[in-house]
Amino acid sequence: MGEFLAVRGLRTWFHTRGGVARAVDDVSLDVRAGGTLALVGESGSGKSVTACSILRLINEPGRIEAGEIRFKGVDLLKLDDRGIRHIRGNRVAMIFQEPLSAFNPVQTVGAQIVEAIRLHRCVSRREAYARVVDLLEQVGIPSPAERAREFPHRLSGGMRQRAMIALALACEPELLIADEPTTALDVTTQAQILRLLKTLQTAKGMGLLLITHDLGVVAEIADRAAVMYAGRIVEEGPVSDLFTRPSHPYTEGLLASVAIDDLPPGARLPEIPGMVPSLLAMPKGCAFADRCPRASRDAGCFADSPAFAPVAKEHRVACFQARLAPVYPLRVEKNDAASDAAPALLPPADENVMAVA
Amino acid sequence: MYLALLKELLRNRSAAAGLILLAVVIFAAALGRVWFAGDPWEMSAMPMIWPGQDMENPLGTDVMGRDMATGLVSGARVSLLIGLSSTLIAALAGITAGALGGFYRGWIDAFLMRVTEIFQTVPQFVLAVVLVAIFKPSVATVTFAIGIVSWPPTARLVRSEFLLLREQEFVLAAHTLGMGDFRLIVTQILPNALPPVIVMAALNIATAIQTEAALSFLGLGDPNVMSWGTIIGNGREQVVDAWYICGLPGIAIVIIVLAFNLLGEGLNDALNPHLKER
Amino acid sequence: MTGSQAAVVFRFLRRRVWQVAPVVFGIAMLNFLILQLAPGDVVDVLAGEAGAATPEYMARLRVHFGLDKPVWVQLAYYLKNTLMLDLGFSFRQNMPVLTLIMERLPATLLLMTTAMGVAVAAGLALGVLSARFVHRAVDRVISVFVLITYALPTFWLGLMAIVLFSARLGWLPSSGMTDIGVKLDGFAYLRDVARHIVLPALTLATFYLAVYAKLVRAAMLEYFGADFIRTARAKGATETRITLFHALRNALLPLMTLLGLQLGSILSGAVLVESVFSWPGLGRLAFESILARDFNLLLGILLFSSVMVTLLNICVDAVYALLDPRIEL
Repeated sequence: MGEFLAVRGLRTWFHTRGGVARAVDDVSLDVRAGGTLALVGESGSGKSVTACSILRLINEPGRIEAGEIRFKGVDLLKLDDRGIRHIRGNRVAMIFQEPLSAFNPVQTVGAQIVEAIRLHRCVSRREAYARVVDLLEQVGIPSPAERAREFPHRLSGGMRQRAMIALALACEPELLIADEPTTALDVTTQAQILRLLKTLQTAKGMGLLLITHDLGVVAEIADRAAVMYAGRIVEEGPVSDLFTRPSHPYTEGLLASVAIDDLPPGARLPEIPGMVPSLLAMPKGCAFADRCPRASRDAGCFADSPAFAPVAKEHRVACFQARLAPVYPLRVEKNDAASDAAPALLPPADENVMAVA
Repeated sequence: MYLALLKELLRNRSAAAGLILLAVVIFAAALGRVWFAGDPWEMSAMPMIWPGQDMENPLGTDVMGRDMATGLVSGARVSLLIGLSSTLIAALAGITAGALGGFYRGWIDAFLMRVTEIFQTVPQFVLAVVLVAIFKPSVATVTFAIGIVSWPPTARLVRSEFLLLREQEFVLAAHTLGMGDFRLIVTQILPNALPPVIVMAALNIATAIQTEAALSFLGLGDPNVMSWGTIIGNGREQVVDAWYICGLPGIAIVIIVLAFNLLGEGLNDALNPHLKER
Repeated sequence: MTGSQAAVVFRFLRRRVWQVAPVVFGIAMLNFLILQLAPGDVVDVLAGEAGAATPEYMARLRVHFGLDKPVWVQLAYYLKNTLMLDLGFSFRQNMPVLTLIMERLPATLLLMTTAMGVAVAAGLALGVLSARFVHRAVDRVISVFVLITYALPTFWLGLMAIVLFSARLGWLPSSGMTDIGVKLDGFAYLRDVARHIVLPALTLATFYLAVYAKLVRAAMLEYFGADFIRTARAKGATETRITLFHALRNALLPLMTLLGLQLGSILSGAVLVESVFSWPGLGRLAFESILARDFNLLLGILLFSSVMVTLLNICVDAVYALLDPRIEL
């Protein structure tokens, strides 16, 4: 099978008054057909900018400076306006983190999904509307016909995010980008939405790029993960491998402070002493060097930025001092050594939220 | 602090443009006082001499043969005088009402807000017309009337600033130190509430000058004072034959109003940097 | 609009009309205060210059205002008269003030609504263009235009428009609402009025057009950064579609708010424009009453126009609520 989504050497910079903020600097990542890649990092690490760059949704003063974003062999950055519009919402769809502000406040939810359908499919308004009701039902919204006629502010947070998912699924995209889809929701709703995403992804065979700062979510849903720090990817690999044998000191730090066994959904990235460097004034060497317990002048940590190199099968890391940490006692290992780590961590299924057709 | 503000203003493009325009108007008016020192009401030549025809009356004469240049110079003084003093009245009234309402809240606030609401509902210019007409036109009544109709926005602004500021720690601290209400309002809260008021005042001068011109245009100006609006009003019957009589003072109004609008915008950028994007 | 919506709007209107009462009361108080503070006795003021009115008229006015009674009784008289919409009598025109006002009202309303329509439409168009091509040539040209338009005195602009469009070019009539001496009916009458309204309406619209263009530009630019615009873009909508269906639709809301706040100022502008173009409306009536020193009529106009502003404001609020589903009527 050929490549599905391949991002290579992406640089998205923000030209602000204070200087150039390199929000995304030389990022490469892959999403496989039908697979889920989780992009993890603290807020401000450039995850969302990376996600928005894929569909070229970067506003001034941001600009994509360099790189390739190949989707099934086509470089999205080289497409003209028409070309990228044909991709947006049609073959690649996106879910945003704030479902209230992501909906137009003065249009009904139904009308906004109808618009998404009719932008890409030659169907009548009536047909599109029938499809909207069907979609809302698929994402588990009760009495979908009535809800379609509601304005966004009348729905609860969870319902809004379900409607957002329905909007994204409107044209049956091949790739779904979910930018922190659960941060604005309460814990119970978060779990429901995640399960819904996972089920839909399996049912439709979509590729999924999940942006999150929530390690619990990663473990639950993703098969591969990439860790981002200060605009760069520092480590990437299968979730099982990455969680059990983190190689980059930053990943290690993230995982070490959390007992991975009982990572509840909603757990935030734990704090690591020190400050993330300002994107306006990045240090010359490794961006993490100042906070890194293993940083050494001899290895060149303060002089050069480390290259991205494999440490194990499908597991790469950008660190001069990379080493495979001892295996953490992860329950995943006992049940399922394959790449799909999620099922083992899933709590017992909650029947009444599974309204998927 | 004022020096820094001035520097900031000169760096701001619209403020700099406004200040330059204003300086030009004031300079021209001052110079004109020397060159065209005569009585603007004196009939000095043939009526309706076009600008540039006669060096004695470089900007021409009006329908009564009065020198246009002398009239324009006199008008500049009237416009600036009435614009500034009526804005001062409006600012003082607005600050007083807004400060009292915002500081004491309760029934004083409710009452003052009602009054403000009524003044905002009444068509401002019509009220000014009524006031000037009933109290007999003079520089004083015109100034007073314009001040009276333009205080409500300032009052609302000051009130909202006071409502925010009175909860701030430095105010509470001053209060616990036993500072009286009056001193608290004047020395603690007011200085912090002032920047947006200054911006509003600059824009208000522009509106006041336009209102003054409109009043005198309708024949409600001081009958002893030659203002730009008066010249336009007197020339309107002959506007088709001699449009310059109405045209020149109109252009003068546009320039001075533009100057204060630009200055206000520039002040806004300089004093409220967080509002820059709007 | 469905039947139930109509019922909601009706309930809203009924509730809001009650809120007009205190405003009318306040304005009546203001009028009374002006009369009390004015030099001379109320009737001297109202009847204008001494000798202008007949003794009988003066006597009638004194009874009308209860001038032989203490001030508070006078106030009660005044308020009672006002609330009964009895605005008194104009000795100059020899007609009740209310009748005179009602006669002139349609012309003013026509001028105001036409001018507002033009200002809103053109302001939206310019604001949208400016925002869509922000910092480009189109935007700069519009910004300069707005800046200058904003500084033009309305009455002066009207005079200059007469010089250019009616005297020099002869395209449009310069005064009145219809051609004098010609009796037209039906379509021809409408055409005649339409020709006459062009200059006054455009003159009145110019200032507001600038204000609205500025506001719409700012609102649109703010919305362009909004999350829901990004969603629309992610759906694959064209920039034009995003501008018109998403950003513009939302920018209508602040525009309505501003429109509501400016109703009084628009009416003031109409007074000036009407006196320039001899448009037979309230403004022209006000101008005539100034010339005739007919202050009772002038005060009546002030009161009536204030009430009209409140009523129009209610309409604007209703439209706002219809435009914004988050507002309950």
